[in-house]
Amino acid sequence: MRLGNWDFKSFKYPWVLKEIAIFAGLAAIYFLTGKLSLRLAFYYVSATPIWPPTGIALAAFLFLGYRIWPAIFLGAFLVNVTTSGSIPACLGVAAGNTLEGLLGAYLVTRYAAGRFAFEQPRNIVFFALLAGVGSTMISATIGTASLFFGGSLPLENYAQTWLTWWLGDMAGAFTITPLIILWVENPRIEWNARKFLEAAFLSISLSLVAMIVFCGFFPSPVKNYPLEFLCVPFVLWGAFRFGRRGAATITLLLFAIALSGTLQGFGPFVRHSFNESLLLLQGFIGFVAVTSLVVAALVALREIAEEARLHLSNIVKSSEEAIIGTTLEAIVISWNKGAERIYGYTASEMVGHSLNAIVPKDRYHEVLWNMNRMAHGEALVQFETKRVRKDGVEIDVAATISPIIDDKKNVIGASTIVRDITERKKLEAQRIAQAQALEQSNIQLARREKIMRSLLEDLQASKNKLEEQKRSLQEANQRLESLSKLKDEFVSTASHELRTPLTAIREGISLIHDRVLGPINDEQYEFLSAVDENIDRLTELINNILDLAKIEAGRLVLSRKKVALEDLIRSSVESCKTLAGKRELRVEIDKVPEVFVDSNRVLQVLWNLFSNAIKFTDEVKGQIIFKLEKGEDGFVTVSVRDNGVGIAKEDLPKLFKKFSQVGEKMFHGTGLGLALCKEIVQLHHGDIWAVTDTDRGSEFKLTLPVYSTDFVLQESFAEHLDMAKRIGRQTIGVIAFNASKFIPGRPEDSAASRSKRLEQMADFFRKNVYPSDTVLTIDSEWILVLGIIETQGIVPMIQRLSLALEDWTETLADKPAAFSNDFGFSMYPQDGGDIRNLFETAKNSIHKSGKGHV
Amino acid sequence: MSKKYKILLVDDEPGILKMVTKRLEFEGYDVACAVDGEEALKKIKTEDPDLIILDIMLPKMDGYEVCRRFKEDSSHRKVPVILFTAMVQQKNKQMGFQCGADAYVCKPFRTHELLGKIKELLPKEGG
Repeated sequence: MRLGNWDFKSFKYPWVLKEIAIFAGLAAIYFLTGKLSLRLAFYYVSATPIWPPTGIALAAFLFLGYRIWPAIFLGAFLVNVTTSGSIPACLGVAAGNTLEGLLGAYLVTRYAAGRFAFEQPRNIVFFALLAGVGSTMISATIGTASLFFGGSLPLENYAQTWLTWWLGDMAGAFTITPLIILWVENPRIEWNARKFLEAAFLSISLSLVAMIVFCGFFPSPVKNYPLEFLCVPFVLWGAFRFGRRGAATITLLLFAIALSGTLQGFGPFVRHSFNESLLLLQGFIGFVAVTSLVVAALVALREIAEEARLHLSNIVKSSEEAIIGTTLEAIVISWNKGAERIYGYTASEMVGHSLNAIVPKDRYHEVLWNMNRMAHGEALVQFETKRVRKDGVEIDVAATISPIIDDKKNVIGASTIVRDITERKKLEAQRIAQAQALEQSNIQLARREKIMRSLLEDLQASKNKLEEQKRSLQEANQRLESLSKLKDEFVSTASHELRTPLTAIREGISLIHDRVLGPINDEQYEFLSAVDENIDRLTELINNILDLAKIEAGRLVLSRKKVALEDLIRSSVESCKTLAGKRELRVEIDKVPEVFVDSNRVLQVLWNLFSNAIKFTDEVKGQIIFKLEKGEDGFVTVSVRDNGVGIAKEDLPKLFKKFSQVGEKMFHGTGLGLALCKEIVQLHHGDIWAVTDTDRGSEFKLTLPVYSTDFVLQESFAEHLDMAKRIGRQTIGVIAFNASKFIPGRPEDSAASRSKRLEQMADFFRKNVYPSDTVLTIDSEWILVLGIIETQGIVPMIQRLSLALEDWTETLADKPAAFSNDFGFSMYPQDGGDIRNLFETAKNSIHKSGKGHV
Repeated sequence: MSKKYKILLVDDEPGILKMVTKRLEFEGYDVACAVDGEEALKKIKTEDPDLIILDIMLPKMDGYEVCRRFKEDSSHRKVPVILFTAMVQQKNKQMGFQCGADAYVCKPFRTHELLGKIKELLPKEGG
């Protein structure tokens, strides 16, 4: 902290110094003022009719606190000791002066707001009574007592001296304390030129009048007219126009002039002695001082109140909202700018008139009702209604109406604050309309959703029903399946059980017949041969029953392949050679395409026809001709012709029926052989029939289908459909694999080696799919897998195949780089019901995506 | 004199066992018999046959299982097995071959068929 060039920080006790300065200064001021005013001590040296130090002391205590008492005491002591009297008497006087100030400050602080005493008229009066009239008695009493006991105040002068002392101190307190406090409190002067001019004019006018009244300027022989009242207006002027500071200052000015005039023997207060004159003056000045201060304080309060009122009224005036004051009879009292703006009526048009001007006719009752409410002291908040503007347009408003209640709690009117909410209402209406539209569409949606839900429920119900049906169908299927399995098992068990004793019979007969057990005669041998033959027939019968049972149970599954029929015929002829004995066997074979058949079953058929031919032909002259030729479209024809007894035309229809024997029973047939042949050929979609001529023997003909991609596809697909139906499944997967990368493409590779590789791959596939799945090779580069599988199972299956294939290709010398993308698939029935299309779809699923399904 | 081959004949049917034994002995073979699967496995070890004729439907252990176990044992692996059964379906045959059987003869059999297979499977004399 710096004060001038003095650096307090470098000094050890700066506050002590400051305190000393304050104390010394205060003591000096007190001393000098005291000395000056003692000049006016006419009656007694130590008691002067005006004693400003009292005012200084009081102000100092109020501002600086009680702690400065030593300065006051010192100042007072010095004043007295340098004037007259003994030191003890002077100490007593000083103590009186100090106590007076302390008590005054205490009382003012306690009861009159301390240094803010001059803000309220009440506090000013209290100040005057407590500090001015009350505490000053202390000083007067102690002071005169000190002097009296010091011997310097004679008893006869005591009362007069006490009074002078008291009134002098009082005058000091009345004039000096307010002056100091008010000016120290607010030393700033914010006047404009006019105000300064006014202040100057006031000072001069007052001075003139005061001089006329108190200084004998009045050109009249009479010097002591009681004209002091002439000064009052000027003091009031100061109080009104310049506030408390002005009042205090003017009072002091007046006092100064009056004092000097009175001392010179002029003015209304001049009496026999100076002292008496001064006492009167003091009374006058004290009265003026208090009055002017009170007036100034009242003015200040009024100004503050006025300012607040003005502020409030400005708020009302400048409010954007309409603020309308009415009586309880709805007569307009006030009408602000906001109201003018909203309603179009000016204040002059409305004030004094009924509010009904702005109320739609159908709402008059509303105003009555509202005012009735106001009369009961109830407010209305954000009351929304309609009003009419001056131009006749109806507007929406929100009004808050409150009763106006006076100090006596009477309702004297209503204040209405109005906001124009027409725009808001419009928006609201829009919003409501939108909300309604939304609501409407929500309702519609909800209705639709309900419909959808009930549809879904229906669907679910029918789905459940279907599921149930499916389940019961599946159960039925399972029952059928188990029934047919049971039948199958029964037949095979029966067959086994029949064969076992037959084996013993045959071996027993055979042991005798072959003379293992000892010699037998020729007749015995012959009969045993017949028995053996019958055992053969019985065995064959059992075999045929088993096969037919299987076919009827639908359990005879052909395992068909591409076969050269020529090879089958040759091998069958070869195996029959022993049985044929001396009969002539001839084979006539045309070049025919390969067929799609189950080799074992076809051999069975050929064997049957062949053994029949042998049975019905002569052992020596017999001639059997096998013929292979092209048949109808897509078929090849096999014929077995003999020169035997032939078959009567009428017997032909019975030929292929079970257990029907043709002719004269001179030859043994099983009665089941041809029936079985027919079943087998028909399973192949071929046909079998007999052409007969009793003179030239008989000819059996059968057709078998030529191998073609299309046929194979159709057949395999039909098989799977059938199988799926039997086991209660709906979907069939078709996997197409493009094997071209595996097929050697070099020119030197023969077609045979390519097809061999393709078949090799197909075999690999067969090992890696379910036994019931079918693997086909198509168009010399495709491998097709057909399987009964769910949609979600097909991709894993392809992945499995792909992985297996990868392992497999590791073993190949010329393994292709990448092939996993060469898989495609399609599903029945999702992708169609025709296998050709399904195959195409599966193929396309590779090409389309470029990546296949894996 | 050429070596006499020993054949182990396994069948649970006493009549068949008796008659086939008669036939085989007549044909000049030594014959050992067993009536169930477990006995068959024991006899294989004790009798050390040159060929086994094995029924499938056997008590205790079926012929497939006997065949499989027998063929798993490296010391006997080369001894031929003829399955000899009344189960004539294709699948039975396939299963038999999968178990390591060398031939399959269906009952009721023709004597020459069985004898032919035996001759075929036994090591050639002096070979």
